[in-house]
Amino acid sequence: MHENEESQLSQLLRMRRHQAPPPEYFENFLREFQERQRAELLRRPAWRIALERLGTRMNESYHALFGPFSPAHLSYAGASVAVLAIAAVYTTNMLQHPGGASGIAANRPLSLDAPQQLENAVALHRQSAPVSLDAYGDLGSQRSFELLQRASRFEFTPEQVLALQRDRRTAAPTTPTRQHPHYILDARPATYEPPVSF
Amino acid sequence: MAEESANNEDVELVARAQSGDPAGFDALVVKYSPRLYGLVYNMTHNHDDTNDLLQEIFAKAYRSIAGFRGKSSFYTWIHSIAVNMSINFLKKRNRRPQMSLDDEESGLQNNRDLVEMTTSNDPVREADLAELQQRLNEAMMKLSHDHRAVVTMFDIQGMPHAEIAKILGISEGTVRSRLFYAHRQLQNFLEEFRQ
Repeated sequence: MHENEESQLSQLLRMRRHQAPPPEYFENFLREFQERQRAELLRRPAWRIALERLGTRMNESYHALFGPFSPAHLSYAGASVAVLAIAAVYTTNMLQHPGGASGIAANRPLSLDAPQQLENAVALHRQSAPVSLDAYGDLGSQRSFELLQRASRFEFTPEQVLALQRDRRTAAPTTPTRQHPHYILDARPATYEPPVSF
Repeated sequence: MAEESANNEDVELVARAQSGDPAGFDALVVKYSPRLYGLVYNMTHNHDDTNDLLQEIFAKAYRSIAGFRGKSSFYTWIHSIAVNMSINFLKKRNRRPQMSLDDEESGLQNNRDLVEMTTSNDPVREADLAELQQRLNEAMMKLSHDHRAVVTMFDIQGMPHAEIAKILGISEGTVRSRLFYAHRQLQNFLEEFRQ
């Protein structure tokens, strides 16, 4: 019974296979399709037609220049060359500066060995602090003033450097833009005054 | 062998169309429009909609022919476009106010099986058959778009499961399962009519 129903359904559906419009419909269909295509071409904006023409010309020029190589091949080659160039530049930089970037050096702790470094540290302190060397005196920070005087004569002890750093840290919140110290000074600051001679 | 020859012919026509020869694409339109008409018509059940959709399907194929790389046959490719566009169209049409779908008197002909069965000098059987077809139309329209597409391709157009799977981008198992479910639904609708 079930198979019979299934077969009847299949038969009914199969009958539809031969349903079709009259043959002239398909002749007209092709004509209508061609007319629509032409109308679509005419309706296209001028910029699009110009763009297509440009594309065709570029394509022709491209084939004249590169022959059988497809744009995909060339884009892969271009990408590979770019990656190699970046790698080469990076490697050269690494070889020239084996210690790493200047940012790494900037984070290293202060050394107390060389007088030049101490001088830099003092200059840094003056730059980082919200007030100038003169201002220290104005504010009555006698201790800072003394420390700076000693620094100018390269007489820092490690404890004094630590004190200087502590002093700088307490001043830091008022100067949030000066987060990272730097050690290179092109010229002496305008506020610099020679140490008082005793 | 015949299938391979047809495929080779398609490859040649596609190559001509891709090289800018419109006659190549015209030949493909002539070759595939009757078959695609059957597919789209059995999905929409409306001649005017079928005509418009078929024009759009070939227009889209023409625009995209440059990108056709021949990974599948042209037959599969154009059928995929037709099924997807028909399903999208049906989704849009469902959102519009319902229109008449009784399009059986729109001049369709050449139904050899139907002619044979209806010329049996049996007016009762003739009436029953016409009624059955009408019921079948209604039942088909109650199927989901996906199920209707599978029934149209398998039962009406006689495509194998594997081809349908390729066109719809689903597994053969899914095709069989959709067919089973759709047949059961159609039988239930027809059973109601018989009672």
